[in-house]
Amino acid sequence: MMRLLRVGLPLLLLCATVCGCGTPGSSGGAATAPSGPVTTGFNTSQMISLTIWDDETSPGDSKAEDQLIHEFEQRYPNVTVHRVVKSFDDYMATIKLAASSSNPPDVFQGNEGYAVDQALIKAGLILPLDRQAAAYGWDTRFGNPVTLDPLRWSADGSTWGSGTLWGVAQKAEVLGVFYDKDVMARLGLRPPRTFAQFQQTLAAAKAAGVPPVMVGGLDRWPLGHVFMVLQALFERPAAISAWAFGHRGASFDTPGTRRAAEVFAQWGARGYFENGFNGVSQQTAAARFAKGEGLYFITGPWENQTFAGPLGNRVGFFPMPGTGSAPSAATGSLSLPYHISSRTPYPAAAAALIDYLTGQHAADLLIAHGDLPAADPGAAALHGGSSLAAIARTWKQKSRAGLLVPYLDWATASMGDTLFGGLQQLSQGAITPAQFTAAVQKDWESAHS
Amino acid sequence: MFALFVIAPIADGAWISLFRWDGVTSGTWVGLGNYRAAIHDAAVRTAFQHSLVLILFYAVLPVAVGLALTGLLVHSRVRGVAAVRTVIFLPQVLAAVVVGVAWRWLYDPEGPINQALAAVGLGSLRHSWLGDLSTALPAVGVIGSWITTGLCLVLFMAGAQRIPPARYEAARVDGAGPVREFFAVTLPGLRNELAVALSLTVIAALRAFDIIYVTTKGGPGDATTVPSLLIYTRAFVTGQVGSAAAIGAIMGLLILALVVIITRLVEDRP
Repeated sequence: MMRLLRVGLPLLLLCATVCGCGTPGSSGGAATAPSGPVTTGFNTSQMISLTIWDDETSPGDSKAEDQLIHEFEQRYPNVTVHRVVKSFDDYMATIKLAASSSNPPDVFQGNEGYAVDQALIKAGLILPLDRQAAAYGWDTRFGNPVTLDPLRWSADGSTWGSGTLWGVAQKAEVLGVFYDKDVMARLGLRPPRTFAQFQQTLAAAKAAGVPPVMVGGLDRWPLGHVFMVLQALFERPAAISAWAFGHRGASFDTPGTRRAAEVFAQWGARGYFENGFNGVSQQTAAARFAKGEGLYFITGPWENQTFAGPLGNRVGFFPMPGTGSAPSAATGSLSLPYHISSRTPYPAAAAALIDYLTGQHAADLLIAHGDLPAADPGAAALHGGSSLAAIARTWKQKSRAGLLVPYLDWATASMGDTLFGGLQQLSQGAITPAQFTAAVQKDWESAHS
Repeated sequence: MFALFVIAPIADGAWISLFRWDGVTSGTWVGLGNYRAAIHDAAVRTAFQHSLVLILFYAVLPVAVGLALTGLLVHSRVRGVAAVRTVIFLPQVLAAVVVGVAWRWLYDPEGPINQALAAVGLGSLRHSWLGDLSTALPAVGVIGSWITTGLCLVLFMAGAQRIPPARYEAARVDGAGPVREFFAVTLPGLRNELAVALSLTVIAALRAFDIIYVTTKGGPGDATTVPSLLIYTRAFVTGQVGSAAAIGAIMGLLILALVVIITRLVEDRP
């Protein structure tokens, strides 16, 4: 042991001086914002090779992405696009490293919030897109302009929710309730119009031995989505947004949010989630719902194909009905934004690619593949009894009316762990609603002090 | 080569642990601040406590089972010993992700384990093994035992076959039964193997990451968080690379200390 120390320590010190010298990360500098007008064109005579990273792993989305890229290459024969796909967790663990590497992808998805987008902006790794947005009309493409707020940051990346536009997204997400029409009919129930009626349907399903709400608590985040849907009913939308964007003075430890936590804890105590839900993966829970084993599944459009594939028109969707007569808010946002690397040699071609991936044609294609596009699809997509049409109507209604609230795990880099872990405990009665809201607020304050 | 691929990364990690760094922008020098913060961090303490529990499942239990099986099998002329050994060793060969996914399915509330319990009339024991705050850590631990038992058994069997048969004959002449024989001959003859097995399994317990990442991601709540999971989250998710490096350094030193102690205690060295 002593010999090891005698040899090892000097060796360590030597290495530290040889290879570790210098502050980590100091090589990256802030991007200098290019100026001058931007047009929608780019050089079509020179051979251009673009690399794009995305996390569109679900079969429908991935196929749509491949097709759009293929069409783009056909339209511009001088452009070759290399696509790299990773599943969400892998993607989020590697994208910052890839973006800061010596050979970054030209176009890549980030993630709204402090963990990814803020880090990318602060390190100068992505380009501001205000001029491209004006040239391509991105700022009016997604309905109400506030829809783009989660993609806006101040130029230095310190303030979120307003300022410069740093990305645009292809898809939209809005949380709501999928329901099995057959199960509902068998229980003698009708789709609820108020939250009180919704609670009654839960009790009726439980009494009949049908799992009222299917959720895969083992994966942690699915419980978060259930909670967010409840919080949007009991807390003012502006207060939720301010908290998620990290604005000074916002709080999670409020009567409205505590009320949502109480309802959530009650659902756990009354057995409204399926048996052993904290040991069930979301994939398994979704597969069981798709086999007709439950009444409700609270999630977003990305699961639509999982359910509508096997169940067809048997699956329906509605936004969680409000506690009063006024329309309720819903958790929702644009999906992961596409950014342009500040070190790409081809920013103009990259902008053209993003425009193609997020435009009207892409919207129609995504609807055809069963997912919810960010841009308005053709009017036909909004009619009919399919779950997707109901989702598209919900998105349009909530986004136009400014009734969308952000995901809560955006609030701090560690909020996912704190919030979802807390909900696992709350759902089993291991902590009280007040302890839960206080613990979450503590995390928020340590990040935003 | 060793310096380049082993020492250099260790030194780099130690260097980074002295900074507050988010992984992309420029870091700030904080000296030993990350270490002080880690020692006072309740999350880090909980994680190391979980590691101690996992040592029980990853190291103590498999070594005990491995020794017992070795005692039983070492002289047996029963055919199929090799087959048993292969089957028990098999988990060592499987990728941890495969093992994790398989066990996630086995532990499901409607999964095979609960179905089997119901089938033999123990339906009241049906349980959400990975979902319950009180059973999640032992449930993950059992997966660890399942993986490392084979390694211990193979090490001990190989060691036992090198013990001179004369010692067993001598023991028998002295009238020792199978139990006396195990403690008087087999166990002392396996000292070196014991040290290796304990070192490897204790290291496996302290580094446990893949199984937990695939099965529970540290949940429910923080019931199965371990240091390596904290390192992963802090380095790659929450942008606290300095803190992650500091926990890594603490973990490395702890492993080194434990291995030295194990080797000193178990190996027959002056």
